Amino acid sequence: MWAYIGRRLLILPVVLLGLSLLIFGMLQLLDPAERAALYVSSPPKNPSALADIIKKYGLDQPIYVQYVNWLGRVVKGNLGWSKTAGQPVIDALKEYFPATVELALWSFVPIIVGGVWLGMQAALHHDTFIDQAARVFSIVGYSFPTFVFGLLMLLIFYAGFHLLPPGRLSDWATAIVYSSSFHRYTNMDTIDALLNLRLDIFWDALKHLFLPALTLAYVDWALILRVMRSSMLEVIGQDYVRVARAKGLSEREVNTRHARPNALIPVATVGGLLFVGLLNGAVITETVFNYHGMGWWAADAALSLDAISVLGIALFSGALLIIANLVVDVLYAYLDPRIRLS
Amino acid sequence: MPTTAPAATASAPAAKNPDTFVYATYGDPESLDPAWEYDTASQQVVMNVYETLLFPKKDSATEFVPMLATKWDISPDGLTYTFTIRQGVKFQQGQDLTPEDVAYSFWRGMIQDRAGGPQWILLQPFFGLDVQSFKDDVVTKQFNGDWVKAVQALEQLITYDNTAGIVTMHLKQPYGPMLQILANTWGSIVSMPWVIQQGGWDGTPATAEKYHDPTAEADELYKVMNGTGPYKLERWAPNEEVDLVRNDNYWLKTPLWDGGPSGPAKIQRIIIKNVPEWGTRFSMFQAGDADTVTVDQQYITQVDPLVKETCDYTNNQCTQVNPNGTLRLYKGLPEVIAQPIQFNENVNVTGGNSGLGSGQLDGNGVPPNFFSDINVRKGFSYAFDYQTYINQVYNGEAIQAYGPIIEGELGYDPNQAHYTYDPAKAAAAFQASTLKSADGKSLWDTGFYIQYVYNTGNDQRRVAGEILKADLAKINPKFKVSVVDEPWPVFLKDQVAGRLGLYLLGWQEDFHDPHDWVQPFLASGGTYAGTQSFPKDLQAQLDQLITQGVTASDPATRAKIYAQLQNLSYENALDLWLVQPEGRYYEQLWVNGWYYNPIFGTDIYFYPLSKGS
Repeated sequence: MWAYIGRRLLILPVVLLGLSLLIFGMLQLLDPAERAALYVSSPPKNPSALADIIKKYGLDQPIYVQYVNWLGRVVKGNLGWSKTAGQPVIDALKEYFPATVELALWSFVPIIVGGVWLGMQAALHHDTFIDQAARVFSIVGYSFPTFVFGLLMLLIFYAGFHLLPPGRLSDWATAIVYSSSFHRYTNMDTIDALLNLRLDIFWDALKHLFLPALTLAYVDWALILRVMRSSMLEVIGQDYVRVARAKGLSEREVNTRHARPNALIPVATVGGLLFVGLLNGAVITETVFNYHGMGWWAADAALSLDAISVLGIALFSGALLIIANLVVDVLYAYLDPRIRLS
Repeated sequence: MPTTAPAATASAPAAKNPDTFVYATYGDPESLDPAWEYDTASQQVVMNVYETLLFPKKDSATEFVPMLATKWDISPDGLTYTFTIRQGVKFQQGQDLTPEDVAYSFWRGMIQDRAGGPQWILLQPFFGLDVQSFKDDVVTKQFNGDWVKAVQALEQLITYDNTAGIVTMHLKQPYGPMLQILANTWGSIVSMPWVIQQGGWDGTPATAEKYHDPTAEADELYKVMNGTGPYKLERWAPNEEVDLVRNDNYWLKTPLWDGGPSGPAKIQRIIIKNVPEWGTRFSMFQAGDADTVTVDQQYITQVDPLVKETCDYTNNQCTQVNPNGTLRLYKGLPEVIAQPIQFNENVNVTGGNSGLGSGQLDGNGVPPNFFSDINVRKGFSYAFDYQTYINQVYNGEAIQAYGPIIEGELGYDPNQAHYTYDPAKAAAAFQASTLKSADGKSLWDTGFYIQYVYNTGNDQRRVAGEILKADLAKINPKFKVSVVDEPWPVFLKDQVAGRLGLYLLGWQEDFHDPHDWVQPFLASGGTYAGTQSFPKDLQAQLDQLITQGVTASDPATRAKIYAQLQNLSYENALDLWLVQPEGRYYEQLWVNGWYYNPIFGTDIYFYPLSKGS
């Protein structure tokens, strides 16, 4: 297994180099004046300003010069300046990624727990009202446009009942979190609040996370439910489950101790990919809830043609994807001893 | 309906977070350096932290009161401005304000002159009306590339005397809008020792070049502020929010105008939140977590049912419209924005240009000089249904623009001749066109095809194109317009390169003076006119009048010149002028003290505000 992990990690820089070349090449399809528009929000008053900006940012240099310059800085740990984030790309990653991880964690738990439970109920009550209801409930969530559902939640719970606000923290909590009296260990508000023993801030951060986490969960429950349901249906028809029943075990014991663990294997695969997707940012959910994480930043950078940010985000996401897939593979082998990584 | 002043509203609810004012809007500052920034989001912050020598007198866009200067004198020839600098003023980090700080602030800005920045506005009065760039036009052209001599010359144009407490400015030519431009954010005063401490220019000519045209992030004042104003910067989380806190040691003890604010600001904390998603902004407003939000025209029907009282911004009198409402609305605010459909009289077709179709008058395209025919331009101008546009796009809250000079400025005449929707006159103009197809047929008989281009996502501009397209087709079905959107980068590139034939772009004034309107739209080097290829003799006449207008000191003389320019724009149908919109401002009922000054545009001066029922 260790050799397998080593090999996968070794290809990481090769993949990232290819990815950066691909994106760099694609950006060259835009001419320098189009790329300079990032720095010009209205037609420049001085007719030569656009040409000056192109020169200042080196956009008129040959592609290989621009690439080598950029790569040279990356090797030294400098991913460049993000115009859209208003800070170095590295700092922006340090700020926005933890926000997204926090949202992913708080939504992933309900996605898995809820999806597995619903999937089990649907399978155990196959073709009954419960099965149909669970499937309809999740399919509605899957087909509901995320921004509509998110806005609906905001209008009901925030505008209507004045609960569960958007953003990451209330203004009073923001003032404390960014003051010298509060130490930011992880840039994840709930965790930092606990480490600073500030339960009021923890509660405030949780209130802000509730709706975006619910929105993400509602969309993804359908996926987990369907995987779990079909997997469970397959497992409960297996011989060893029948044997367990024949041994006189209770239905509950049969389902939870014998059927469920095996039915969870495909859920682990799907869940792993889902989690990686969440870590890359939930563009619509983060935008609707004004939650400044990776998805929100990536969308802003792409729409603004902020090449440096796009490159930084792509490299980071690429690395994340490779590592996460590796973790899922390892986890898969752990859950199913029959699988051997080679 | 009862009419009251808003502060006297008896039934206003208790203020939520009485010490904090939250403004939810969209847009993020590009920089907090007053010399670098040139966007409204940055100016929103800068105008509340830094201060200028003079300041608009409350809601007047043409009268000024002394701010960091206590008085100023203008020499009879209009070439020398002498400012007496206020004593006892301290910057937020404790430095005393000196005349040297004032002179240094202007030197530093003009030397910095970053590409695409605001410094051309200051360079022109000091170095000549044709100057656009310190490096290219001053250092290179006027001083043969000698930076030291150029900076020495600049330091002679703006001199200071710390003992006498004065700063003197020597202009290259009289400049009508001088006081206007000094009252804007690029006229903000910084502390010289503090800037040097931040790694900025030390004030010596020998080192100046190094500080020219920095990127935003390389600029020493990109993210730090130290002004003399009523608020201090506490935190800027880019793309998220800007937090300001009250400057408890604010120097202003006596109101600058009758009834004006004085002493430390009443609201302790200001939060300017960047919330691009309308649904989220609206929810914040409904929940009372935002004291005011930016409401775009298309969303006013959602907000209006929540309005309790509508107020007249000119006298602050309010009328109750809904007893259960929770908001106050000011409407009819004359915005300093105009958007014309522009004609390019000689389109750049290098390498081909699909915007002109076949590129010739054959019914499937137009030649590059299509709009050089005045009858074509007049035909387009008579063909557009202005009132439908105003009703559809602005819900009736706009006035038709008659030319580059907007209402409220010198030279604007409400009785100015202008184009109205008149299909018969449009048809007559097109029939009078001298343009012929290759086989000798008239424009009317041949027809044409052209693309109308606007930037992607701008629905107001899209609707203008759709109306023009439909109206032209009604006049003659052979007149075909295709409404095409281009992403902003492509649109900008094409506009700057003169590749667009028919397109819509807007302008928001930099300073409240007609010069800031005729220069971009009519001058040969203007932002827009520069790519429209007006006829040479007309262009020469326009340039001459523009110079006369900006250098005249007598307002009556200036008004006459600008009226002449406005009329020339009409007579020659240089652009298809659409509208000057009227804006709206919504606030919670517990907010007091807001007033409208067109100079601020949509930005808010927080100092006079307070919260409380």
